[in-house]
Amino acid sequence: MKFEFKKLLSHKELWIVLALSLIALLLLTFRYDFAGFSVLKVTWQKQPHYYSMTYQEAEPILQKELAQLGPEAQNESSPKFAEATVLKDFQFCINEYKQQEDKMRELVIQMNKDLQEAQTDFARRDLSHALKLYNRAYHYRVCPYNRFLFAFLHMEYGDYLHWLYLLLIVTLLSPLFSAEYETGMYQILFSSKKGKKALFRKKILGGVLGVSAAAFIYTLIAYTALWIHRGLSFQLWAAPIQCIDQYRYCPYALTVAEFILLTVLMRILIGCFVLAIIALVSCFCKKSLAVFAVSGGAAAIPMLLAKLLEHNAEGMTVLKRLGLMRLSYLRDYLMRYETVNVCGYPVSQMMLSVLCTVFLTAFVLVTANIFYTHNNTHRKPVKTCSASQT
Amino acid sequence: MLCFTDLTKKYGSFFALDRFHAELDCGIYALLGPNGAGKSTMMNILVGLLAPTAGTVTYDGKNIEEMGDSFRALIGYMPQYPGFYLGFTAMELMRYMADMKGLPRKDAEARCKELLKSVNLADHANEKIGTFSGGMRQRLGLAQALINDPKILILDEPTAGLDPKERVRFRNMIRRLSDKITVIFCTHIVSDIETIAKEVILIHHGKLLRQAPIPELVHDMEGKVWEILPDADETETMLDQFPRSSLVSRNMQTVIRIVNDTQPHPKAKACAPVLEDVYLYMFGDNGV
Repeated sequence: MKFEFKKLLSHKELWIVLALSLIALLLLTFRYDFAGFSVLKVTWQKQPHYYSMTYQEAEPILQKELAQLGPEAQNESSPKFAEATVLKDFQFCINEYKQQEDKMRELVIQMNKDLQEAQTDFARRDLSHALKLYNRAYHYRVCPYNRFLFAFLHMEYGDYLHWLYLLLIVTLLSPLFSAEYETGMYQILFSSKKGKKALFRKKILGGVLGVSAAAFIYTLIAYTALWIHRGLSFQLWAAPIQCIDQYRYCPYALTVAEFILLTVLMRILIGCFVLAIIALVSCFCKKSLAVFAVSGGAAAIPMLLAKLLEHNAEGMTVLKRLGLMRLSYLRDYLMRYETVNVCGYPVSQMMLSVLCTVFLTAFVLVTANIFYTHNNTHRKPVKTCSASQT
Repeated sequence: MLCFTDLTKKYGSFFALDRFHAELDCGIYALLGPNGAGKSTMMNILVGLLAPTAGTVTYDGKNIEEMGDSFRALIGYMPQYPGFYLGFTAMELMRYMADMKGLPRKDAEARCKELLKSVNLADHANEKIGTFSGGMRQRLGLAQALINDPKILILDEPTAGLDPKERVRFRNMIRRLSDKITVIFCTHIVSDIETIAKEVILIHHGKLLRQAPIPELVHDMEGKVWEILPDADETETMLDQFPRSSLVSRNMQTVIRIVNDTQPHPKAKACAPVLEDVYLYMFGDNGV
């Protein structure tokens, strides 16, 4: 397996794409800004003592400080205007937090009401499960946290992150099976004792290792760049996921670090799916470039479909349930509580998508294995430069 | 004993191998034939890269397709252009091949070192293959083919890219091995096999033309090889007239050596044939 991994890393094209991806990633991260970010960043830096407080602790102090500034601070010509603006930004964050708390309270009250009126076993199970999750996430993990974080942890990256990752893994894996055909090394490997079966197994394991390393490094670089860009403390990795703007109503009790780990795992799963496609395509295409084009196109189809179905709720639901590359859009699964009725039991959308992707990956891999181990013996081999080739 | 029985490989209506039949025991068997004769097809079937359309290959009476892994454990294969991984060192490649050929890890390290030493690459064991010359890569190709101590060694143009000294060294090595194993030596360089081959297998258009020891083949050419000292203006005309001919030097003079069933010219004198004449007779001008 280590030899297959080494072979993967020995391709120059990979390092070129990796370097370009990194440059693109950094450029896009540092150019990206969301409304109000700059103001809040200044606010954060000017009033660092608020960071250690919860909103409940901060609100009376903030009110007192605003009162001390007096009504004349609201005037733009006042020397205290800048300080008042900073404090108003904090007030904005507190109001947002309160709204979130109110909405959550309403949501839980509604769920309790629905639970009492539930007619079916599935509805009862589903609502009980949802309540359990929300109670755990909000009362034990989220509430004690400083809510000022949320504005800074706005982690909307956009689609380009997923496309870059797809490009990276397709480039990484394209030569996995085809390199030997291009060089003629397959003649030696296929005629060795362990032969094609062992080689296929080793290549898949090497590919999984490569995908894992790529997912881990890529995610780490992406979030580190984001962290540096937003000027955040690395201690915030222990904050609950609900601190992130998009996930404020997430029912799962996850920390930001756990969320990032989940992102890595999903990327590994997506990478394995692409690996399976490449294994299958490589049974028919012997050139790395052809494998790159065909596999890249095939792997991109779900993402393209997602773009096309963006405003079609039913289509998106089907796509989400099927998993495929939608798993890279974790926010679709974590933003709110969504389950599917499986034999009367609620199964989370994400779990279902993971299972579908695992099943599909396994199916494609088994098919590729059959073709790989049986195909070549019945086909004319790729011509090498041998003078004695018939 | 390795037996090819009515081995046939067909691509559409084209026969790459046509009821090829041969029997091979211990020793070096030189596979001679022009491009497209079917040599590579035969070797690819033997190493399991191709399935025959018809016919069988048996080893000690057992069908090699049925033997599967156990047959592949017996073979060592050195293709002409193996295209090794340029980012690997020689030692890494040997370790990789040892793993692919199922050698126990504890024995592999010593075996790899021993073979690299025997092909004179011990000093370059930790150098990247990308920095190797053509000759060094050929030697590495031989080392990897021998890693599993094969009973059947298949060499496709093994001496291409070797300098004369390396070529002699290579031949000696193969000769020593051939006492106990079957070596199938596919080449165009007749001088490589002239002194070491036990038998020559002549193949053309996918068919076996002849399988015989070199002295027998050469003996059959008696009276079919001629030399003539041409007049200055005759050389080009005679070379065109007799496609199975070559220019050679004799006592500071250039003479034309012609392979022909009958005396090609009144001035032509019969001379002693060599293996190259057999090749020319069989395959020159598209063969007999």
